Amino acid sequence: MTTQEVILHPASVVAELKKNKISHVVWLPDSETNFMYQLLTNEPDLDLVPVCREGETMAIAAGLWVGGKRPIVLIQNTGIFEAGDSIRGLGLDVNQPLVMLVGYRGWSRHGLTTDSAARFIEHILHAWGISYYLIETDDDAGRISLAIEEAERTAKPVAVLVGTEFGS
Amino acid sequence: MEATKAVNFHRKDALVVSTSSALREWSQVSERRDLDVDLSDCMDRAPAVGLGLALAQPDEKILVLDCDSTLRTNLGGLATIGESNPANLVHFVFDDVSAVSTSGVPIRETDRLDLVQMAKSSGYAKTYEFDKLEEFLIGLEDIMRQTGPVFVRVKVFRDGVQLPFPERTMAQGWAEVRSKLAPAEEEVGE
Repeated sequence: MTTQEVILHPASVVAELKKNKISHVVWLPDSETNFMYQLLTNEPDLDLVPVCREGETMAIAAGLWVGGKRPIVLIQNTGIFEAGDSIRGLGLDVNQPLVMLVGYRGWSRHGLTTDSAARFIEHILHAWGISYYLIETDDDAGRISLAIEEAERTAKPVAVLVGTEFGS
Repeated sequence: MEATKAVNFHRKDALVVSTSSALREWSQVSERRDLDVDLSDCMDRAPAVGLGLALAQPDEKILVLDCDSTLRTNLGGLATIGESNPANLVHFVFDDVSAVSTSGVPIRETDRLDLVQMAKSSGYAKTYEFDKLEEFLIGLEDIMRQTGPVFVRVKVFRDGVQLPFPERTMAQGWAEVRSKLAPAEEEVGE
């Protein structure tokens, strides 16, 4: 029996973003998105907007959206906790159809999930009434399109939890 | 109010993001509310919203009307703007020596912060500092000609009367501005 490598490549994610004509990726640089960063910097159709703190991402995305662009946000689940007020006031309250790609730090299908960032994140999203999709492999990448479609249809933020580190 | 009136006189067709006490004044003097993005909530995020607008509309001038107290709560936003380096952004900070937004309670840390130096070291292309209204009125024409990002600290004294926030909600106002700026987006997905 052969085993198939199960991995999420940044190229699969970027292909989904391009398919949906995403214009900007507003992100907080971190080690988990390194491979994604390398790919995005060479992608002429997507502009990267780096921030100092996650709560800025929703605000910058809001300005881009009001200005007619199609941004997404790329942060880690720890950043969702920091950015709560921005998600509330500049996402939910102004009807911004914002898709947030969220690194699911600490989560695993195997063993115990001890990291509180992983244990709390889905509860937080439920509390805010924010839908979310989980992606772990290239086969799941199409869920990003589902998230974008839902965000635009409902005029609300939607999260995509990235349940694995990006492969090279 | 005189400082915001002066900005209104020079704005032309600029998009304006305003917050806190600056928004309270601006909503009374602006003659182009259809181009105004109000932040009566999440008031520390005006520079970030302005940055997003500046990147989305590089051919338009974007004015951010910020306050010392709101900027203090998100100083990292200066570095974020410096990093993206938007040439079309002017960031005004009204430094209220009467501390009206905190009902007269002084914010001592703000008194010691050199916001202009922080903007400079964060990468703003040009900075200005005005302690007198007359000098600000004279300097505005030059400010509006500069390549940004531009940072402008203006010392203001308010008489303690707290003006109301605009009646329209943020969602209503933002939808109005977006309807002017986003028609090209309709082509997406065709």
